[in-house]
Amino acid sequence: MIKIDGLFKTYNKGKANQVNALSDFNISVYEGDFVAIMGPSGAGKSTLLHIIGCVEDFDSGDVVIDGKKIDELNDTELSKFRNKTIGTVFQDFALMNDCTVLDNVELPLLFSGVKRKKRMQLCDKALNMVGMSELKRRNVLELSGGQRQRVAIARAIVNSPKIILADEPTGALDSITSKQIMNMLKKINENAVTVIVVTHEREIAEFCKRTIIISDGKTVSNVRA
Amino acid sequence: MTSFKLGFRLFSQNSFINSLLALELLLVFLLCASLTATISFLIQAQKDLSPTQKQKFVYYMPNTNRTIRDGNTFVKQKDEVLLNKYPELISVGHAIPVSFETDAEALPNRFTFRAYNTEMINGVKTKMKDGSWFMHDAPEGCIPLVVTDSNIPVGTIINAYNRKLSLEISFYVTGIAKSPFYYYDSGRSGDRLGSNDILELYKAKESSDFTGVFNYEQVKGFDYEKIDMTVNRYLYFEYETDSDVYSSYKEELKFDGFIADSASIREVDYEFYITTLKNELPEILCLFIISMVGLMSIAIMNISRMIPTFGIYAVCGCSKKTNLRIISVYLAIITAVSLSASFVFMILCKKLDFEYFSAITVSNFYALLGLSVFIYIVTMIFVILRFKKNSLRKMISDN
Repeated sequence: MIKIDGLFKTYNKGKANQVNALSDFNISVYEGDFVAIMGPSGAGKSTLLHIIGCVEDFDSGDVVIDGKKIDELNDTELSKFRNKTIGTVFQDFALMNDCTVLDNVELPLLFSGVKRKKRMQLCDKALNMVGMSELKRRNVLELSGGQRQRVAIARAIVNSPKIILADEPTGALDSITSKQIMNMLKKINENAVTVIVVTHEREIAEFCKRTIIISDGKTVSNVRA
Repeated sequence: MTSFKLGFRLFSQNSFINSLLALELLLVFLLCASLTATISFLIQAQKDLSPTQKQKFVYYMPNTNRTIRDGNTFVKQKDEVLLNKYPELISVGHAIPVSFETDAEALPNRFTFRAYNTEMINGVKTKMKDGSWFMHDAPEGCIPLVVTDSNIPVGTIINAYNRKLSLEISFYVTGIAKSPFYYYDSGRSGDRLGSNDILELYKAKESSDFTGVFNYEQVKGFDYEKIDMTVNRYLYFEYETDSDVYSSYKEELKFDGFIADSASIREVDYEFYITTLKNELPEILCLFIISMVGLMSIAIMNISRMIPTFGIYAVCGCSKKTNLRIISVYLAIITAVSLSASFVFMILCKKLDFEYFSAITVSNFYALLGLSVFIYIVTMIFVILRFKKNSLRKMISDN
């Protein structure tokens, strides 16, 4: 599903504050995998997730996702790829404030040109999955942190992507809500969706089938539970 | 369709900022409108002098016995004397201000009409808004009258009187003159020319500016000799102003008290407007530029503020092109709202004869349209540059 070979990514190249985020990084993630990526701050976890999510370019190496070399895709193809193949969940939810739950969830469907009726059906389905269908007309600012993250998950899954990327999805939540969110991601993974979670909490990583620990831009361990 | 939907959403979500933007844009548009209206007015004022006025309607003699620049006191010349003195002189035009009173409700109690002789009537044929320049026949017992643009329609009969001159006249409105209407009148200072000598009327609806022109030769018992001190004389020569004969008469005409030809009177008037404009133009331009820069800064800042939203769109599968399309729709909505508002405002001002916008023509609307396209393009260029500078990751991390 995801194959990364010899990946290099450097920030501020040639400057005094040059940072080698990833150097000669290799990883393989299979279809239906549920992977936790752990590591200390600055290890390159988020960079890796952003590269997989096609929102960040890289210096060299091969990144093949779902059979496509992402560095060979242009902006339009990449955005289409992001829209169809990848769903992303952020620590800070990344929702459009001043908008309703429905407005947020339907966004990926709008960009893939789904008709209104179908869009509403798919939104209802996604919101049902995360238990938010009754609050779909609510403004996201009126929701709690846990509810907002559920909305973010609903938005990530609404277009039935093959991969879900979650960057510290529980970072802003209490432990009970965090468990609920992780259970939700586990449920999504049971439907053969590949889920990659970046976290620094061991309890969260325990929900996953595999844990990859990276440090200084390299894989330190790759352990299957 | 998605771009339209999301563009509208951006517009409706940030109502306060967007209202400010639209208001600022409206201000810029109105400034541009008043600027272009002033320029239109100046062009129009230049064009207004007819070839007849430029070439044959030549010299003007103020109404009173005054000392002119060379220290000589001039005395009014009788028409016969002038005609004998200048063989090329075709005729002498008279313009006499006569005040009237009326009981008519639609009119002010007091106003001044200009009594012209036939030569004058024929010499200053003016553009008409309605009716015609003394071509209609008036009902029996009525004197044809052309009035400035007012609420009075063609065909109205105005009963007016002047007790001092023992005049009681029934005027019949045969035409409404188009604004700006130039009527010929005396200057207050007598030897100084300017806009007091040939007056422009814009506020015809206001009581003080309501005026009309009639041929006093049609009024029985109107003896201009009796009121000679207020008669302003205009000489009509058969040659053109750029001819040698005309040049040779110039000094002599001055000695006889005729102080300038109509073209130079108009020039003085024009100079006045140019000076006024020159004085005010830097301020207007500064205001205009500041508003434009302010406007674009607000627009760009507002869009920069929305960058995280575009980051979210991008994560959800929106390409850079679509993001730019969404912004262009959003900007187009603001521009369209402001442009429509300024068009409505300008049309209203034009209908209400609001001073600064009275000279508005279709070209002003085109100017506004051009300006809006310019602002739109410049803002879009800034937005594109801003987008190029920002990586997708940066846009997302701004969240």
